[in-house]
Amino acid sequence: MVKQKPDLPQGTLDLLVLKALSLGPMHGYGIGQRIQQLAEDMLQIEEGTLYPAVYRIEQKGWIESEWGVSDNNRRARFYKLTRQGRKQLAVEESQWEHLTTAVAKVLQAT
Amino acid sequence: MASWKAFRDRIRALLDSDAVHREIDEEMRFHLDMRAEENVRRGMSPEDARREAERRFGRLTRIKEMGYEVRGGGFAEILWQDVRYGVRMLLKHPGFTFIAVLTLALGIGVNTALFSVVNAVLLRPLPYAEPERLVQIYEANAQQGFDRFAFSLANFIDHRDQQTGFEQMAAYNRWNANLTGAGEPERVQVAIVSASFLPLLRVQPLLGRGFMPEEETPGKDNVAVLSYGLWQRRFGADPGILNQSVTLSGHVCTVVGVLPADFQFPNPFGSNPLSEAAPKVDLLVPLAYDPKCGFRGKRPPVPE
Repeated sequence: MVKQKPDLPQGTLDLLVLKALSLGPMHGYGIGQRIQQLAEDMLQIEEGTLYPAVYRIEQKGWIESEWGVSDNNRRARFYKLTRQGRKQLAVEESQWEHLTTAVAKVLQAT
Repeated sequence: MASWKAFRDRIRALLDSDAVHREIDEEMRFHLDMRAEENVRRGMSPEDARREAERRFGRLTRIKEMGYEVRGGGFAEILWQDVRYGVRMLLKHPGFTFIAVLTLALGIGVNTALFSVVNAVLLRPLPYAEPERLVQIYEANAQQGFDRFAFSLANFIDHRDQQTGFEQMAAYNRWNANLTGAGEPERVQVAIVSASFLPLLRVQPLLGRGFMPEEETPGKDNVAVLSYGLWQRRFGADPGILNQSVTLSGHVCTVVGVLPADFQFPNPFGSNPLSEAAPKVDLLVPLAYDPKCGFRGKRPPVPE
């Protein structure tokens, strides 16, 4: 049986997290929601794996975090893109485009 | 800065790992609650909503652990493992360990020894005021092949009186004498110094005074200045020591002063005479000169 919702290729999650946060600061749950919405539920993400990825990105200095209050008045940790993260997002976007174009060319061979 | 944040997290995880765990717990609990509420809104029973949220989240314990590691946790544990591994390996290869330890020991030892010498000779300033203005001068005797030789007293006096290059000149010599009088007789190290010696080194006696120029005359030279050590040891730091008598190899001298505790006598035979303190000096006596007995170009008469 072919999986309808493929797993993300290695490293892609970082790109999606950066992209989601480029739309504005958000807590971890919100990041996951945003990615799912933007992907129109076509992706299979184990939601928990988002967190180690987010922590790793934070350690690289691309995002930073602080405790804040969520829409339903609960304490939540909010992440936002740093200036360095914005640059990194541009780099990763262009790399991703390059890669998908290249893979598409190969697959289109007849 | 990226590495700075990672470093801070690592230290924080080391010092307060509970706080890091609590933060991660809280963040993930918030996530599960939010997902469960969302599920309830979509019509699930609270139990199903919770179960579905947990299923979508994945293996909670494992993910928490991963998050903790990313945030610098486990650093101390890994460090400790490395240390234990290192010790085991060293014990397993005693030959290698021996060579490694020996190499380190020799390296550190040689460095320490070299540094001590360099520090004493080159780095540490002379223990006197304005050390950069002090020089030690010698006579040279080419015939005998000596390039550092003591001045004859008469030559010193000629130099002192005729030179214009130095603010002041002082001479000193050493003498071993027998100290007798109160208590056990004792062999003491005496320095025979010109009256200019202490003023030149800017040394102010702790008690009393140094020597007067007129005390450089035979017959008036029966005075002595005690070192701090001798004053403490032999005279019990007696504050009334001034004007008391001490007998040096039969010569009776009046104590006129006591040197300060930190005074160091120069060592004329050290590689850097003014920075390597000589073996202890117990007393100073004035360098008296009788013109009738002096020989220019010859050694001074031995005082004993």
